[in-house]
Amino acid sequence: MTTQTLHNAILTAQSAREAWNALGVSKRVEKLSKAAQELNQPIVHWLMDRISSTMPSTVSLPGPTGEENSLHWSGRGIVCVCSDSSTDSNTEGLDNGNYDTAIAAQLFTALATGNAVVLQASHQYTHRLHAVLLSAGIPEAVVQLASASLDDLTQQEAFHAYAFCGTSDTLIPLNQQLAQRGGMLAQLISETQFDTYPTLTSLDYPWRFVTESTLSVNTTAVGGNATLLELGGKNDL
Amino acid sequence: MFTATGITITTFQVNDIFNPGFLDQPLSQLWQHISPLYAVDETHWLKALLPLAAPNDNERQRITQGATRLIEQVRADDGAIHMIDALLLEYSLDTREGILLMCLAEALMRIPDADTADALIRDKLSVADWKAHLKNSDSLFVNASTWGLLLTGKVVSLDENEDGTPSNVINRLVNKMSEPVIRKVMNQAMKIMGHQFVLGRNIKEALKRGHSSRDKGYTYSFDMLGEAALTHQDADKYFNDYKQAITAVGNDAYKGTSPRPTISIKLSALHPRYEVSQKDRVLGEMHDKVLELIQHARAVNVGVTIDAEEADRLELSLELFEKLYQHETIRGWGEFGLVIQAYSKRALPVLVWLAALAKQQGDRIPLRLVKGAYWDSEIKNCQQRGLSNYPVYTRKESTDTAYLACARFLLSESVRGHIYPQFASHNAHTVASVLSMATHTEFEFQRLHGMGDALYNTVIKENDVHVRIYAPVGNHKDLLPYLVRRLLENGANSSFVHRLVDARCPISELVNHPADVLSSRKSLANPYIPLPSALFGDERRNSHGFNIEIEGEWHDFNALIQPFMSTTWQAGPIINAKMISTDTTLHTVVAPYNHSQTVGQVNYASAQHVEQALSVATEAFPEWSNTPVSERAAALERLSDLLEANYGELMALCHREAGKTLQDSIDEIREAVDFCRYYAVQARLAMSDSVTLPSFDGSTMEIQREGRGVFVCISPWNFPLAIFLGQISAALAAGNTVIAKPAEQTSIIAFRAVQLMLEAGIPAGAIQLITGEGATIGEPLTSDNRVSGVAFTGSTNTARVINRTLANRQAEPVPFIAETGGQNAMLIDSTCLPEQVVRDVVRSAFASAGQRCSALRVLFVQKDIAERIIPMLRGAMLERVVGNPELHKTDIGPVIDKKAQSSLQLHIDNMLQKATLIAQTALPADAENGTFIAPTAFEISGIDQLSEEQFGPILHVVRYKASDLDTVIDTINASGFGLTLGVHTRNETTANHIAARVRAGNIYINRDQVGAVVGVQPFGGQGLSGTGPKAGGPHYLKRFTREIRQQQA
Repeated sequence: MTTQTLHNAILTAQSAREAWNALGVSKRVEKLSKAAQELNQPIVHWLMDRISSTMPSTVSLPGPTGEENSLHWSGRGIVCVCSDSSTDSNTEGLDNGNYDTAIAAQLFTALATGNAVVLQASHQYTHRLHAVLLSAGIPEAVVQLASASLDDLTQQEAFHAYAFCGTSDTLIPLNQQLAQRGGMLAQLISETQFDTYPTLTSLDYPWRFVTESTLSVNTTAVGGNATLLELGGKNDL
Repeated sequence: MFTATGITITTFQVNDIFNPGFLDQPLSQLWQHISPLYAVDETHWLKALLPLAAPNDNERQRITQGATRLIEQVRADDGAIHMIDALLLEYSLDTREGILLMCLAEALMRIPDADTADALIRDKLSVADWKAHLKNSDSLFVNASTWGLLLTGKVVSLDENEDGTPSNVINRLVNKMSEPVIRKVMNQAMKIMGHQFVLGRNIKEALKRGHSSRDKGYTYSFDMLGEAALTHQDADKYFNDYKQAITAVGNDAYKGTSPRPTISIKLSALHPRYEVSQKDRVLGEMHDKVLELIQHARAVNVGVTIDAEEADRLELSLELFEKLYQHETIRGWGEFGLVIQAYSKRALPVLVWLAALAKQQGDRIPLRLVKGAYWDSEIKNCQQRGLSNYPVYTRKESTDTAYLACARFLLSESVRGHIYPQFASHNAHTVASVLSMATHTEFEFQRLHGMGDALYNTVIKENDVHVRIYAPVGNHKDLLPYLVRRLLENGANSSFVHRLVDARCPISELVNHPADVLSSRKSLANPYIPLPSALFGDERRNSHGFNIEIEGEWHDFNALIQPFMSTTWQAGPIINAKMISTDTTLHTVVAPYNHSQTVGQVNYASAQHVEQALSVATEAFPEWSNTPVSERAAALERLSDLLEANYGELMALCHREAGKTLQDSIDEIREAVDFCRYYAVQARLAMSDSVTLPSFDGSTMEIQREGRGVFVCISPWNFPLAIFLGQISAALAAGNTVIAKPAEQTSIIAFRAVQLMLEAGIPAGAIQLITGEGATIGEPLTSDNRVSGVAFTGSTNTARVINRTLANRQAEPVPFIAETGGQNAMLIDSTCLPEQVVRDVVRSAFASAGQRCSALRVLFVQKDIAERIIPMLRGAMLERVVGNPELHKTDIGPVIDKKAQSSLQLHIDNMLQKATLIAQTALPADAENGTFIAPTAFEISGIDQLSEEQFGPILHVVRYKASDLDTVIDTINASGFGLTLGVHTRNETTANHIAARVRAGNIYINRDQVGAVVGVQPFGGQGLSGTGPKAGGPHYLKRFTREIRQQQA
């Protein structure tokens, strides 16, 4: 794939992110869980469960009367799911199956948390993942398969985050390259240990893919505060 | 009487007020009883007040009988439940329909464009169940409105599919075609409502419509209600309205025998800055204006009543009243009066002072005693500002009790002839109480137009007493928003009006004496309304604020600050609890608003100090990390208390080093206190116990969080205490040791904060302070492999530089939490209330001289209302005061330094070429002594005309077409920033749509967009504006931790 088509993949993903994010977490997880049934990846199911059970779409916050405050989250935007291509051909000590598992986990988590994804076509398995998602009815624009080098990918200012699987040796130069990039500070969410998956199984992992927003509504703008007025006249003994 | 030596605390003994000679004391002495009661403990004060209100057995019996008879007669009257009473009964505000009806009434008539009006109708009507209200009411008026609502509701209630497409195309077509019809019907319905609430659209119509009531013996007080004036032009307009109304009332040729009508005046309509901070103007030019009105009124013999407003303005209103009342041209008239609100804890001493004022001048003050109209906003305001207590009672029966206590004083022999009491109430029990307590007839009752008709028809028939109707006069469009709040108050379920006409409510429940009801409560204060300090329950104490609008509070608070206004501080790096002064460079700090004022000297660190700090912090990490989280949290809570204990010094530093105004400085200290307490709580929550959960492979994981190591915290000058301590307290609570690098402009306050941290028991190794310039210190600090994470707030460019330095280490990536700039927008549509919008725009754009990450930079105004909003914005800007931030009268202080000043000035000069100037606020005469930028607003074509954030008091305004809303949203998103967003609209669908589409971290609906509160509005943006997690939110502290796990099969 040329840079031009990577560019197109990003444009397509950009056009789809808003609607995908607006679906909400339960609908996304429902669709993704269907796709996951085609894959024998327990960690993906486990992550989908964790996301739907520990990430409520709204949290009400305390505060003064006459105001409604709540915390929400959405996908950061476009996540590049990529990996260390040098690990493809049986890097020593690395089980390719575990590696595939990690890529699947990153991909499904990025999608479940409301991001559109550009999936680097680095391994055979990424094609399979892509096919499974499409056949489960995930909109094509939301998950774009692109063959591009890590070098090309790190230059793209449109990516909000990079979900990377690979070795620590690759991770440090990758991080340096990303820091050279202009635009926003990209998040680098990396898994480098494929026996225990410490990143993928951490409590904070899915939260790395999201951005929070606070909504503060002045409920007294129209005139008064009927709720409070009722408290003022409430009967007690 | 307002001497600088101030207030001696005197204890006000309720019983003394009847003592002979009490009212003959000097006014200045009686005045001193008022302010100390502003936030007096409610229980304590009510205990003192109750005996004054409580009846003896005989009186109680007479009141009960009188009230019972009144209610029986009202209920027996077929025509009793009509008009507004009936509407309130049917659409009570505990129903969705009631609320929606009020929302429509408030906004619909002012919307100039049809599309927006239709959308609002759709928004409000399609979700309500109007059918349920049909035929419940016997009132023709209510049924007529319900039919209208039902018909329209039916047509507009179309379910939409998830993606927003209509579910039924044919219905949709009907809807489209019938929209003009519906709009007409709805506007008609609102006009009917307006007609009920408003006596006349102008004074002539009001006088004419009032004749029939006057024939029955009633008289009037006309009120030209409206919003407060924000501009000189609006104040002039209201002045002319009042003047014409007085003339018209004076010329009225009514021939009956009922007393002469009067005029009520709302002072905030007569001056754009009727505020304590602008006292010189209020007692100067504003006094002259009001005097002119009163002199005119006296000439045509139309009595004038000054309306009561918010608690913050009570003392100011009394000072103004006194000056007017004692003016030689007003003396001896006896028809110049005012309104006092009984819900105010200060009401009784105010009445005492007024009675003495009248007695000593020898003429009469007509005084309307009301229960109070701003109760809910007073409570909200105090909670937001963290004040020590409320200025109002928290139970309705307490207000009723206080009302009767005040009434007893006003009806007493010692007050007779000095004050002419005018009792305004729609409560039959209150009316019966006043009639029972009165031993003479020199008083009158007042009721609101359209309310309490039946009650007072009975009263007036059976008693020789005057009843005055308080009648709003004016354009329905202008008055409805204001009246809705009165309705809300009277429509709440608890309201007597509501229960009076509700036949299901037994009379015996309505005739309990409020003093008896109150005495029977377990606690005199309302347990459902927590004090501001208890807003967060058991979790943490809310930070404390001071109310500088209240003479007594300001006097005490200012006494805390003054000792530090001439201090010069010495500051520098602190390593291992020692201040370093070798190998440093000495810099002198001057006040940004007055360069001849030296604040102190700061030693800037050199690279070798960075190395020392790193090694101390690294060495100290294991011990601090292993300190139980409860101890770490307790140290931060001690720090928060120490911050409050050093309020005065920190205020002086906020002024003098950072150029912050009084209120900004209070908010700054409060935020710092909140951060310490919030992260203490968050650390206990996240780190006390390990989390056990099943892993994907069936094994069990036990996860424990711990600190990561040495954290570098780099903070900005614009929140030199709050952000500085926010970053540090999160890092410390999580078990990290910290190297803090404050902005060089605000090193002293950071230095003092670190000293307080050490005093609070944070170990010497856990906190290192490196003062100095980013250029020399930043690189050695962030390129070191020992650094386990960085928290940064500042510019997007600096964030990039730090990120690169961190990444270039031969080390795995570490957390980099960056909070950067914004290009913040506000969107307002034509349903908004212009006065609310302009007030919020001015605060959002110009407070703190625009030096907030959250500040408004680009205001998008729907073009249909631009010609109303932009001139109002201009007028309001011209009323701002730029200057010395130590002074209460100053709204906007300096910008931080010369560099900031010249870059902002460059942008202004640039925009003067390319854009249309809307307004520029004047600079003070001595602006040259500091770094000031005149607050400026420009009109531009679009947000794409701006490339980068201008961190100062510069606002850009863009007009947009309602149909282009989504394009506007796209351009805001295209800026790449995503920090704050403001929205003003009455249309919830529109608000939700904008909130869902604009990518911003903090979205504010129908309010200003600055001043995020810790734990309430977690703060931080996305994209170019920052990485998250949000400061003051539940995920922030976790980013400073690492997860340690144990896996079991």
